[in-house]
Amino acid sequence: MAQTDRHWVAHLLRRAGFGGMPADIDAYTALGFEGAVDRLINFDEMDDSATEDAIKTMRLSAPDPQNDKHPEYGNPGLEVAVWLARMLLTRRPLQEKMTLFWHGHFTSSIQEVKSANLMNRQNTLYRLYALPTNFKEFTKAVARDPAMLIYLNNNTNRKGAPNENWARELMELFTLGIGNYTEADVKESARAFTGWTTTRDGHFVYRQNQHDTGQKTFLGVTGNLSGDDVINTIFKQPVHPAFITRKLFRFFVYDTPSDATINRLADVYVKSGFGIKELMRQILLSPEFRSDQAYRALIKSPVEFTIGALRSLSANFSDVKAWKGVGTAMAAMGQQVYAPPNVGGWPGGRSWINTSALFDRDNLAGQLVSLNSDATIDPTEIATQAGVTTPEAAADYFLESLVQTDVPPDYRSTLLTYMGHPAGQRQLDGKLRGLVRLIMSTPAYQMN
Amino acid sequence: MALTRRNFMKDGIMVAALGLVAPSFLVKSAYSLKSAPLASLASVDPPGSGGGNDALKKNTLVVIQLSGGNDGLGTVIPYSDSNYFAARPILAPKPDEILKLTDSISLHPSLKGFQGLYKNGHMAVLQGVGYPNPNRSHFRSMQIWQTARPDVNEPTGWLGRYLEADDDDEENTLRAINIGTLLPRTLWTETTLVPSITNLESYQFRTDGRFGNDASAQLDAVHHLCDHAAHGGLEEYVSQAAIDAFKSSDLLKSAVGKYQSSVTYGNNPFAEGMKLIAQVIAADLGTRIFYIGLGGFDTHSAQARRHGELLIMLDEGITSFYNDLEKMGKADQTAVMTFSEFGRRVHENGSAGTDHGTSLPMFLIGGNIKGGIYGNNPSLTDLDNGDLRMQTDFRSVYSSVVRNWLGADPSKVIEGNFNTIPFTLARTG
Repeated sequence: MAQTDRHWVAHLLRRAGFGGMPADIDAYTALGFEGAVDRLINFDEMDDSATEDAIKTMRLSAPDPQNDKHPEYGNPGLEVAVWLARMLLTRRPLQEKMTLFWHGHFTSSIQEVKSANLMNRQNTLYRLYALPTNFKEFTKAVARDPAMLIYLNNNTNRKGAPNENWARELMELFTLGIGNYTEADVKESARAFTGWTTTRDGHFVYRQNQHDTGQKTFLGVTGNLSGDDVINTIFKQPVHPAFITRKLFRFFVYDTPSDATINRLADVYVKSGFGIKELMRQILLSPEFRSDQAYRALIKSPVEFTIGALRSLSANFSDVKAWKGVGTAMAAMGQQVYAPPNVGGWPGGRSWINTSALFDRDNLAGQLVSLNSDATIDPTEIATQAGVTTPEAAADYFLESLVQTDVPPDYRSTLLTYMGHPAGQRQLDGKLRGLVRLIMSTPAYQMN
Repeated sequence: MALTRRNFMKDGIMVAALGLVAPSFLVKSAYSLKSAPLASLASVDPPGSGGGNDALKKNTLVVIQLSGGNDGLGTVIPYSDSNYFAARPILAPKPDEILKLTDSISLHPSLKGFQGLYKNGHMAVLQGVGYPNPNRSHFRSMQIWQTARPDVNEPTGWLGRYLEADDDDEENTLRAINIGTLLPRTLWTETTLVPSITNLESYQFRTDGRFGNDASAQLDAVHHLCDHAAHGGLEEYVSQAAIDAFKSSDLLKSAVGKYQSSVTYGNNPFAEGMKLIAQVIAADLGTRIFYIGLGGFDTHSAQARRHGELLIMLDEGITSFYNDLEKMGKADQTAVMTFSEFGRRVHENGSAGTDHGTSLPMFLIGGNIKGGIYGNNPSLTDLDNGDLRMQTDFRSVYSSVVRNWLGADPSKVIEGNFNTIPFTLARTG
């Protein structure tokens, strides 16, 4: 069945962003689908100074760092709050979604890095390179990122005492995939990255005297190879383009692309000189993206679940305390930003859902509409703003906001039975809170 | 019509929803099995000894996944071998820290409770467990241990297949419970979703007390809303998970309050998880399998402190759990098994850590586990590319657990014919 532009633009905003209010969907729809993709891709044309100002205010009003003895550690609670606030407020949703993608791809965790400041610097790097026009250059920048060097132990990788951690994951998880290199390649690559380390105050430094200048053979190339030579060699491997294309496709479209689809898109990536920006444009414009197979086929991550609802209901949490509660609940749901479970990032897909995670979702939704929570939204106020006055109109309005009314027909009658005939403002307010929470607890809302 | 577990399974919706296929070896008409590597220490089973054993049907298995690659050589230490101290100049224990089990084997100094369990005959140490052509990727190797299929990418887990094969109590939503926020592939099945729990407090649809009878109205509504899905596919899976969540939450409410314990558990998520398992065991809900993880074993640098902290958590968590079970008279019906995706290299690296390696020891702990050391001390000189050679295939351990502990037929669970290891005590009745 042919669907309207608005249908696909709503899908686009859920995938290439964090969803939006009905008015946001209307505004992007007015650009046409291709225009909406361009608006998302060319994000630097959008003025986002309001978000920057809000973040500045948040930082200024934040409590002191949690660890006075180690000020360089920074304030983890604040950094999490700042990033979540950015996702909520941004007018450049794809930039923020890509930043999240890179955080799950080029993973690092504060649990090993042990510095919120370094995690923030890595986050800033990923935002800067959100849609890189040359992924090889981005990879070289990541290879010099202090948080990454610490996370994968390359800061202790020295001549005569190599540490293989970064060298292995660079190929297995970041660029080539398992099975496309040998154990000997891991060892030789580790030698090439000896001496790539961090200074005491957390900056990249290349220490010549710790670098192994001997001859190395890596993926068939022999010489006194440096870390950059290793990366250049990796990007010449024919398996690389399909590897990164598949990873992006599965994150943004659906789980089981055909080889033909991946090869077609990987070709775009190669022709554009390893341009993720052009690749993402073609992925979003592809017929696969606007297909039944893609529609509502992914499970919302905890970030998408939470930020999606807050954006759809135009919430605005400006203080760190409110975000702290949200962040804790998201961690219980299985996604704690800055602390992915391991170097593979979040496995995503069906792994987001299990019985425990569902209760955590139900209960975070309950917390968001609760009166005694630091992070609370006010459905009565939202309904009033929208000119909604009856239980029927409220059910329609919130079904549209949260799930674009794309639900089994009996959802509406079930919700109306729940609403009943509230007597008085206080009871109506309670029912509106319950209504929002119930919609967020449906199987339909879990789908992205 | 509401989906029940039975018709859900019959319709194979889960299989369609997950894009799963039946494990290739289960659909073979006859098993044409390649000769599996024989474990040197295994006994050969008499023909026809497969199949169920009702006396074992009340046994419970607790599997502990140590994620990141536990340093086996730093956990069970061949302290009489001088090569060990040469390979581990920084990480080897000091002479006064050696926690002896035998005249050649000691435990990591953090494992004091394990030493006690061993002395009381309740702990089996299986040396050198691995698989042929070891993979040093965390993800692939973990998948191999979870699926018990080193050769192919298998969608179901070995315990998932056990749950399907042993259908005595298949309507029981709580036959298996995962502790944690991520369901490991070990427990993936073709048809059902194993519940995951982190704590009983949050394992329910909470409602705001101040809105009085609104609570029951919300619960009625959410049951209806979760009963079916609009778009099929994964949305059906979510719907089924929600139904299972409500059902298991109701069942677990009975576990609250039935459990009282004088045993003190530590103040960390692993200890809390072990305590939760004891609590559910005390409630007698028919749970046969518990699964819990402890992560952070990927000690490429500064291993001593981190590894020591993790092993203390492991040791205290298991020891408290065992003492708790003993007090409730259930230690004989429960066995704890640990595994990790790989051990680590023999030689420490230049960062006072160790890189990814191969085989490692497994622990089995329980009142009816026949304590002792199974297998030889690993050779530190006869190495394969700097790594330990394996002695016992992990599928031999799994087969033994399925047959001799869970009382089921391993041929429905593990592809290949692996000999069993006699690490359980004979039980009657």
